[in-house]
Amino acid sequence: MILGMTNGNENLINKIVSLMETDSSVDAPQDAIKWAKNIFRTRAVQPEKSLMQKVLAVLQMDLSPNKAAFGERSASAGQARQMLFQAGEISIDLRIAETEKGFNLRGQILGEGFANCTVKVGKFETKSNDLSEFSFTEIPSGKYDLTLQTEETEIVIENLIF
Amino acid sequence: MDVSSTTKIEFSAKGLEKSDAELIKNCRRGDEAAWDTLVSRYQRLIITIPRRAGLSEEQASDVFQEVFLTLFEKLDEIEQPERIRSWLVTTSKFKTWGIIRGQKNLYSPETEEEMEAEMASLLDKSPLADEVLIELEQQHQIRTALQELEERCQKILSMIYLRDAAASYAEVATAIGVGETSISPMRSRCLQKLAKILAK
Repeated sequence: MILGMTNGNENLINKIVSLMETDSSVDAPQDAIKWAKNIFRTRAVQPEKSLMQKVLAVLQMDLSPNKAAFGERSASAGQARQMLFQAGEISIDLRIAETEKGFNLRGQILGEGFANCTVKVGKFETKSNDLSEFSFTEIPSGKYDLTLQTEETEIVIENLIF
Repeated sequence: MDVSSTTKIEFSAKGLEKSDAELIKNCRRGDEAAWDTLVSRYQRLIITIPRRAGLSEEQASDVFQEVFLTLFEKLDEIEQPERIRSWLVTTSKFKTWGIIRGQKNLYSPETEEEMEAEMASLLDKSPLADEVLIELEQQHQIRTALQELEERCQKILSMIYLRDAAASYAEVATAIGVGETSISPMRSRCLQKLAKILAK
């Protein structure tokens, strides 16, 4: 018996030794192994199927700075451009304000499931907070797609012009 | 001592099975290195089944290629990647039996169930009997586990137990550059490490 071994361990080791001693297996011919490895080279990699639902948001309202919405007093109009988008049951409220260093974008996603989601504007990326609010600062002028991503859904607002 | 036929000990080796599942997963993503590892890992087991059953080297190579071609074609359909070893053994067994049956001009089972029944009726000691194949699988598991040991342990255990003519302690000592008296305790420690991997 090997020192420090229990009976169960000894039985296992005896079995391993016995199987090794009676192992008469042989290697496959090298050309067969090479053939088997090569067949994989013909495999076209299939992109993983994505179950993510992609939804395009539609513009519902677009108010320029200092312009009140229909039915509101002009005093209530803000300094930022306000836009409201709809994507299914989700609404996205955006406020875009121009500054000396670029554009500041604030937004809120109104609907279930977008707290702490990924928000992208072009190459800029952030996360929404617990109230599904997000913000970016100093975005250079240009045309951008804004995307809101959860594990199941991606909402896209195309061609936002700052 | 033929312990394998008298002692009921199953290898768990879940770590190794998990690796198999990971290999299949990576193959599905197009990872060539994973496929190469899979072929290297199982080539010996797959070719040994038809060779043990008495097929010629050429026929065994045909079985070998058919098995890996089937695996390649069904890569995305295999439902339990962690059980790929059993899948490969069964596929190799069926294809081997197909050739043997053809040589004997036996009828061809039309359904998989009929084939299963036919295979189940094989005598216990026949080359394709479950008992024999389980032993082959366990020998495969040992060889795979051996690869996880450090090089020195691999060499010691391979030289002592896996060679056709087992090496003497003096030969092993020379090969690894230690004194002959060190071999016995080193061998014991290596066996314990191997057992630990297989019992995980």
